[in-house]
Amino acid sequence: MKTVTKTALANVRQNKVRNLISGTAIILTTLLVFMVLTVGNASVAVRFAGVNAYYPPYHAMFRQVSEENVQKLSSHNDIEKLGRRIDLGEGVEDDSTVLLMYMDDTALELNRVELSEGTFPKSGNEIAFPEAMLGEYGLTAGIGDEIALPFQLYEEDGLGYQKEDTFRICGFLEGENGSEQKSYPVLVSEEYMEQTIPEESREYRVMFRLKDVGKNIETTDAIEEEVKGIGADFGVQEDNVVINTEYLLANYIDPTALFGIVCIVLVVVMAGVLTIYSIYYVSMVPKIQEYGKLKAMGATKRQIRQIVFREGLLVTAIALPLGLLVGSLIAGPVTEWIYRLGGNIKTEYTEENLNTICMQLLENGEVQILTWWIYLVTILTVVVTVYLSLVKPMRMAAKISPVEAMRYQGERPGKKQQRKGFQEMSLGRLTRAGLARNKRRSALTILTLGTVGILFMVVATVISCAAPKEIARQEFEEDYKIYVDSWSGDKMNPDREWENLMQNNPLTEEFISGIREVPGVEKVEIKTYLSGALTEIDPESDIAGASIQGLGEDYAKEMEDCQIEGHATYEELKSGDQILMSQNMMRWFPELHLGSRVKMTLPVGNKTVERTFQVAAIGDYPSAISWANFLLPSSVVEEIAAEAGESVNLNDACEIRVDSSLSGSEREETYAALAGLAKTSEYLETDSFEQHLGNWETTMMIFGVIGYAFLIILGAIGIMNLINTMINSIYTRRRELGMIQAIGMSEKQLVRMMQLEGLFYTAGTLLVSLGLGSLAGYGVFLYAKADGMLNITVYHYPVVPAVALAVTVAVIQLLLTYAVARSFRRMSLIDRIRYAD
Amino acid sequence: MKAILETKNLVKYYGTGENLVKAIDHTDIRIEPGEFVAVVGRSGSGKSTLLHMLGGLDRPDSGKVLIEGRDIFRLKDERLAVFRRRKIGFIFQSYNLVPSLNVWENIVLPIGLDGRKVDQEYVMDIIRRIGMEDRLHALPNTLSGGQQQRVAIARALASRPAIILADEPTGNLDSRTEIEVVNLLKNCVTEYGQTLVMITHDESIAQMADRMIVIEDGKVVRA
Repeated sequence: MKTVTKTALANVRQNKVRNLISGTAIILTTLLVFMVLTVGNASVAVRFAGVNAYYPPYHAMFRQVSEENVQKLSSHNDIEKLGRRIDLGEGVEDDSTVLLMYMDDTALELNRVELSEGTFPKSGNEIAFPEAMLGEYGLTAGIGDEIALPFQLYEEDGLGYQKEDTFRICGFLEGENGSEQKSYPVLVSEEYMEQTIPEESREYRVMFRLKDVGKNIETTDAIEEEVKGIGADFGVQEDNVVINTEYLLANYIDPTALFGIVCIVLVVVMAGVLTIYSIYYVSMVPKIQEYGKLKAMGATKRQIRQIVFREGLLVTAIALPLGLLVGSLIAGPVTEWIYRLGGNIKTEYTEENLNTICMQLLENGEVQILTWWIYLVTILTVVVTVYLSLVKPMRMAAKISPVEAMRYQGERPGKKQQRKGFQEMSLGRLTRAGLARNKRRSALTILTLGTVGILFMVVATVISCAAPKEIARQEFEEDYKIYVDSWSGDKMNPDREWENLMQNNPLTEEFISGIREVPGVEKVEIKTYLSGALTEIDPESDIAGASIQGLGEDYAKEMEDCQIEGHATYEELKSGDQILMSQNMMRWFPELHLGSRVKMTLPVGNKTVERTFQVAAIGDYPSAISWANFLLPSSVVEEIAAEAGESVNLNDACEIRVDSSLSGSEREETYAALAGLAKTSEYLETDSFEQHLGNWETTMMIFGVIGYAFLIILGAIGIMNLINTMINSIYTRRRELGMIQAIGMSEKQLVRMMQLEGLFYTAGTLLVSLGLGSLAGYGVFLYAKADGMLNITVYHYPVVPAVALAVTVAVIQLLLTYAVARSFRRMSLIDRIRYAD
Repeated sequence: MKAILETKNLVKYYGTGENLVKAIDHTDIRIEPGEFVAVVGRSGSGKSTLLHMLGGLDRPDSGKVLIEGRDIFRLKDERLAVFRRRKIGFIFQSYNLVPSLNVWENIVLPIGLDGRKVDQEYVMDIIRRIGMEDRLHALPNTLSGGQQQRVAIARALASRPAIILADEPTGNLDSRTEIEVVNLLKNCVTEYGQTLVMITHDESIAQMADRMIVIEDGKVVRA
């Protein structure tokens, strides 16, 4: 076997050019696989790290747990760690909440309580609290000082009588100062807690992490089930089970993202296999004779296969580490760069603090970007890629008989006996005949190059269709928007429920006329809103509620234009028993269709109205018009409110158009004035078209840069293939070409022939790339449109990328031809003729 | 009579020092129009190098090659290529047909490269002489060695060059075919009034020529 390796090694040295090219292709393949995995993994890791640093990391909490059960729970098999907290009482202070509590070390950790100064309470009357609380009581004190705090203890039937104790400050807690609802935790020592509350009346809150999360328990639902099971065993009522949903959701990995990464890696592997295979296949032809000689000397089939394979492996052994090295060097900066750009995207869902934390973690190098398993996966992937590429060439080399090999000219003899041919010969006809003889090789090269081209065109189409301006327009109707920020299901903030807000709605007529008076405001449209439940299909609104947007006469055209099934005019809808339904509803409730009768329970103030509507039409309207599930004329919405007999204001949003002739600074002023108006109520929020546009521009830029960077590397892999084909097609024919020169072809004609061949590859590649690529791009556009991906709605042919692709391929081809011809001409004619004699 | 092909003090060395090979060492030869000259010598005596120089495929270190009195190495590469395809026909030992072209296309290729129209009558006449008229569309890999060499001969003749240079054209053929091919070549040359210079190491083939030039170590020992 040693001989086999030695022969393979000798071959590596001998086939320098080929191995340099295939080596480069392997480096690039390695780099791509590595980068896709690393960046994908890093973004998940950074998010996890950020989430862990931001949210309290417990999975769930039980309330009202007795001392005895706390002991039992802490040794429970399924619980990884458990912290306990007990609330003693409330401080007496008018406009803020002061909460006396005890937490053990694990609870402090699971709640991310941190000190800015000093220590946590250890014994006696030590306490720790946020320094800002001192101001609230009008005190000045430092660590070690004693202060007297008045408070009321919790008792079974409520708060007890006020009492006062003297405490010694042992530490200040880190905490947000000046938060809206001022609430201050005051930590006391275990000793103080035990003295104050008798054991039998202690009721703890326990927070804990489960052991198997991420292994056996993967989804949020599974965690909830597990937690409830444990709770039931210990007699914890369901009301007292709290799942830390925010933390769990933030930790949840979207399986489609993983699927996406796997798909990209598969694409890279496919391109790699095609390219490396093509490189080896193409350059195998001139080597066949040598393998035949080896066979004549007694090498077995297996040995020949091994020689080919080991040659490939030896090249991989050099190229793979190089690819990994380059990848390791650039992975960090690239990830950071993506995050920095991503930080510019701000939406209403963005947790700004979380992003800042993520950025900090990255900058401080606290997230491990390079992980061993990615190296392992990359190595395996690349070796498999090389192996797959070599299977055919290995078989080809092993199969050929020694005698056949000596005669092998690239094409099996006897396949084609005749050629009709031409009466007169010319350079073009000679070139064409040559290309036709190597049909398989030509087709393979064009196909590999074309595949990359097709991918390029698909990505370019998506990027070109996802025009930030259009997407932003899909989301945003006018220039500026002031809307009521309501949400439901928040027990802490019942005032945010729409039925409560409508009784206390800041979007009053007076407020709206205030908006109209702002200089620069051209037009204001009011949208009304009602929200309730689908009485029969989904009474608890588990899947979707009965959200209805009320639109004025001005929207009559839009409301009709967006209808994709059925038809109803604004006038018809005004009758009050017909409704326009969003097509999304049919996805969530397949039983709904055109003509369905939908019963709704609609809370209006303190009353509820029941109404049944018939679905008159199904619409596909952009979120700029409404994201509600149903649309109705405003008048109908008002009628429903009137039916309830409550005095409510259903105004939900003001869409504001600003005079387009305003200068940049005037516009800023108008926006600032509008923002100032909105600030008068805590229930109002603002949004602008510019904000949406900016977000989408950044998103598309990141998407574009990453997409094109990926394609450029993929393209470079393809170009390796082109270089190899060009070099091979010239060098394997050097004797033939030399001979044709001897019988009369001039150097100029030779170069022209090479150019013609190059032109053929260019034209073929472009035909496949632009032709099939455009078709595939259109297909992806249709899919994206149907799926609402990136809010794509209008098809734009990617003209600039298409032209750039054509020019790039042509220029590379020209340069290559030039370089190959130059190096070929350096060899004397005699050497060319003598070659292989 | 004016010589059609002439060398003057032709020199071509390869390598340096101990490895110096005097492939052509101050050689003067002179060939008259219509002559059939056999160049003989051992392997490595410099025959092939001489033939390459005569055909303008390789440039000498010094000295001249005159074709019809014209110093061909004073021509630029591009002009030389054109001059070569009009004046000289090459025949090589290993046939060297273009594998992707059929018999006819191979034969008319030099005419096509020169941008001339094919004289169909004339070419068909040659093809009939080589006995390949029924294999016009055959691809080279379906032909025997003798057939391939005959096609190569036809290719060299087709563009009506004044001189045919043949480098061991029968080296790969069996002895019966060998005689046939040389006879064919000789007859054609006589008929079309061309000059033939043929390298061979086969004494019996050399005997068929009008004259023999013997080369040893790059020098003409007998002309």
